Amino acid sequence: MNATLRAAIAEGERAGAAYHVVPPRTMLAGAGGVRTGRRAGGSLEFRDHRDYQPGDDLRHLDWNVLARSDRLTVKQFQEEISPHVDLIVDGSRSTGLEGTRKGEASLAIAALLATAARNAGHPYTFSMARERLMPVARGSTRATDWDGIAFDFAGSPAAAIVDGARGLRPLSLRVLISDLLWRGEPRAVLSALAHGAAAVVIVQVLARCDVAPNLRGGWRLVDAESGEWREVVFDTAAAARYGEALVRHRALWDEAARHVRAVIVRGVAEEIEEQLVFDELGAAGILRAS
Amino acid sequence: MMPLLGAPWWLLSLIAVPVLLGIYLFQRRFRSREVSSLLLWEAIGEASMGGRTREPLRLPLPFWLELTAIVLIVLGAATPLIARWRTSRPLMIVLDDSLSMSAGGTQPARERALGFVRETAERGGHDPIRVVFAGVTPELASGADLEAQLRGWRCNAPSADLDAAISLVTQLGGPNALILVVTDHAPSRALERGAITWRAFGSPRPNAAIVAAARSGGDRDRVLLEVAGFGASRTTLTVSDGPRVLHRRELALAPGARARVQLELPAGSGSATEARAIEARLTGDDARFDDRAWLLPEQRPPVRVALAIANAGLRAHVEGALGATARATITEDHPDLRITDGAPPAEGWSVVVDARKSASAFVGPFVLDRTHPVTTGLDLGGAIWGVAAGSLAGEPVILAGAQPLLTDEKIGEAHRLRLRYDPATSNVHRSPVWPSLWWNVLAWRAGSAPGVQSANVSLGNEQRVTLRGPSEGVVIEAPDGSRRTTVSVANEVVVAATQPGLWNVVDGEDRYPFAVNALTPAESDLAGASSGSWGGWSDGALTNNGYQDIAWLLVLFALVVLVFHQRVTAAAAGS
Repeated sequence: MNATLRAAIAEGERAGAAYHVVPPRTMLAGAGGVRTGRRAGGSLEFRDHRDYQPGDDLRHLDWNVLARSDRLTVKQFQEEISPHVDLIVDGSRSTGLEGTRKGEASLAIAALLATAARNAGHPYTFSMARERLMPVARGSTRATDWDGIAFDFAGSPAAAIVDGARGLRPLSLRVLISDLLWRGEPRAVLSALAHGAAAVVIVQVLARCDVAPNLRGGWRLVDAESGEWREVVFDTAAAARYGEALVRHRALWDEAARHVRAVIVRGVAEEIEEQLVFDELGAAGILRAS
Repeated sequence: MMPLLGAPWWLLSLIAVPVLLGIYLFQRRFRSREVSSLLLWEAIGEASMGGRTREPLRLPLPFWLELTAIVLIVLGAATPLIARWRTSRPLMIVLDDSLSMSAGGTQPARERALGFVRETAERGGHDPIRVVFAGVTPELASGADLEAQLRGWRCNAPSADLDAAISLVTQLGGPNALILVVTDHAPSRALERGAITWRAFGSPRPNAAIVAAARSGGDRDRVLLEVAGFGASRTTLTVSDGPRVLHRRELALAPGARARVQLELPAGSGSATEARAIEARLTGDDARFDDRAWLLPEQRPPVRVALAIANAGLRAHVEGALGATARATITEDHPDLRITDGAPPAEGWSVVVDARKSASAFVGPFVLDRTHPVTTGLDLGGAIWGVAAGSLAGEPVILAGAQPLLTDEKIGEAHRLRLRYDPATSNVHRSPVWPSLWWNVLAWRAGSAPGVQSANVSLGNEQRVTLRGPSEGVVIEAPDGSRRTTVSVANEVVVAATQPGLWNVVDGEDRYPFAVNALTPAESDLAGASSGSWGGWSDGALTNNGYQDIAWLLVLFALVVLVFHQRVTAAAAGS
């Protein structure tokens, strides 16, 4: 991991110190229904009464009801679960595309969110989506302790996300940071990511050249991940068609996100600033100033 | 028909096409760049597909429009010529109308040429097609279509002036005309490919021909015939008057040899029905036009001349000239012509000579009225003409500057010639001009009497027939049996001797027969005849004449393409 990435992480951590992650209030569609926690959490919250059944903890008998109605009734409590944050960063080559700051921006956002999660007392796990979801070394500690991060996966992270989503913590806040520039149906990725999640946040980080290519004339464009190339003559008309394709791509992800109630925030790597990230994530209800 | 190019070297400008292609390919030398994904770029039409599959080069629409414009402009500069719609180029056909074209036995040159002419006319689709017969003078054929024009091709001319005919068709056809010359011999000079195709259908062959024929009249009826051998030949000469053979002779002629036959005919020889005509005939060769000759006795009574010339020297000169003509009889008895150096006669034809001593002698330049019959054949080059100064009554016929030397004054039906001539200071009377002048005077006077100018004329010449008076119903009977009616002018009828044989001019009860003979050694000599093709119609001539330039159309198309190109590029820039 080079110094530039480390600097970006440090910058993200610094920025994240002022925020904390807000746990989601509602379960996501497709999360599999309400799930009562079985483990001891930070507190137990009264939820309902039911008739006593053999084996119930006698400590939960509602003595007041017994006194009034001579019925054995137990209090039912819901386990208040402290949210876990799963940070997934696209580890493909396109994120680290030379000449862009997508890698730095992605790590900075990840570091910001990791620090904000830690500020909120939420544990987090930081993984890179490569051929599979690969936990980053010391990826649950301070961001500046992260190690072994590289954007050199020559392929789409979609399969790794779909497969790896099954192993994520239930009811966790799942954050995917990626440029989302891969072929395939977004709904498959988002559905997998949303299954069992408390919330899903997609942070799309694009480079300026991804949003508005500054090209003129004939270009041989080489896919950073697959190595395939394509020769195009880029002129005004081509720029217009490119912009239309980008709009269609965003709309496709937006529609898929709405379907699973995921939140998408977007930014241009070269233009992302701390306040911008906060505004976007704050507006999405993910971050809150400490 | 495939278009031709008037300036094909302009096609070299098509080098602009690979240059344009190079420019586009250079522009298409794509710089390489790594992108996050090709996902969004798939919306842009790929300039060319990557990978190993070989695919045809795909270039943008502006390239093809520019290529089309370049090709159109270059083709336009190359002057594309296409055949004119409907009207192909004119074809002017010059047909050798001379006698030699009828030589060749059963396959004369004329017949073989006819097939070629018809085939050429049908193959070329020419319009119009005009035929000119090349005879002594070129003659434009009449007729609406080719066949009608070809029907007038009889090959009866004593010679063919092909150059004059070609000049005529060049003027008639204009720059669009193709010229086809049909004859029986090669051109006299090298003929390059151009607008003229020269085709000959002759073949060299030996020929015996009657090349001269004459018959006297009067008391002794004599005939002179000359037979020439063009190539070794044997023939039989037969002279007859109708069914009666007057003379028969076998002739063996070496190449270039000539045999003369002189006959004195018995009194009364000649066909009674043909004005005492006799016929000479040769046998046995392929050129028949020169195997026959018809001769009539010359019936020209001498002009009765009364001489009243006091100047002894002048009288001697005049008498000598009149004697040389053998057409005058000096007599005072009812003279047809009076010649005097005294007072002019009151009436009748006369020549009044003013032989006073000259004030000056002229050496020229002499001005002759060539339309006057007295000046026929006169050449005053080198002449010294001394005259007394002063005017002369009558129309000037010969002048030396402003000084009239000979004038003509019409008096009633007669003419009075006034000649001013001083023999002491002149030399005309010692030159051939002198007897020629008096011959012309006598012939003119004799011609005013009814009768033919000459009983025997050569083919191609004119026969002048003097009638008794004006007539509007003069019938001319040709040897082929055709008849036509004409009117006399100044009591005369002029007949063009266009075919050999016996002719008749009929004016009421009067008949004026005369014979026309094809005595043409040049036509009879078939040694120079040949077959072949010379010259030919060049592509340049074809393109310059029978085609039209469509460069403007191509340039117009190019402009349309460029306008479309501008709109395409503007639309692309604005989108």
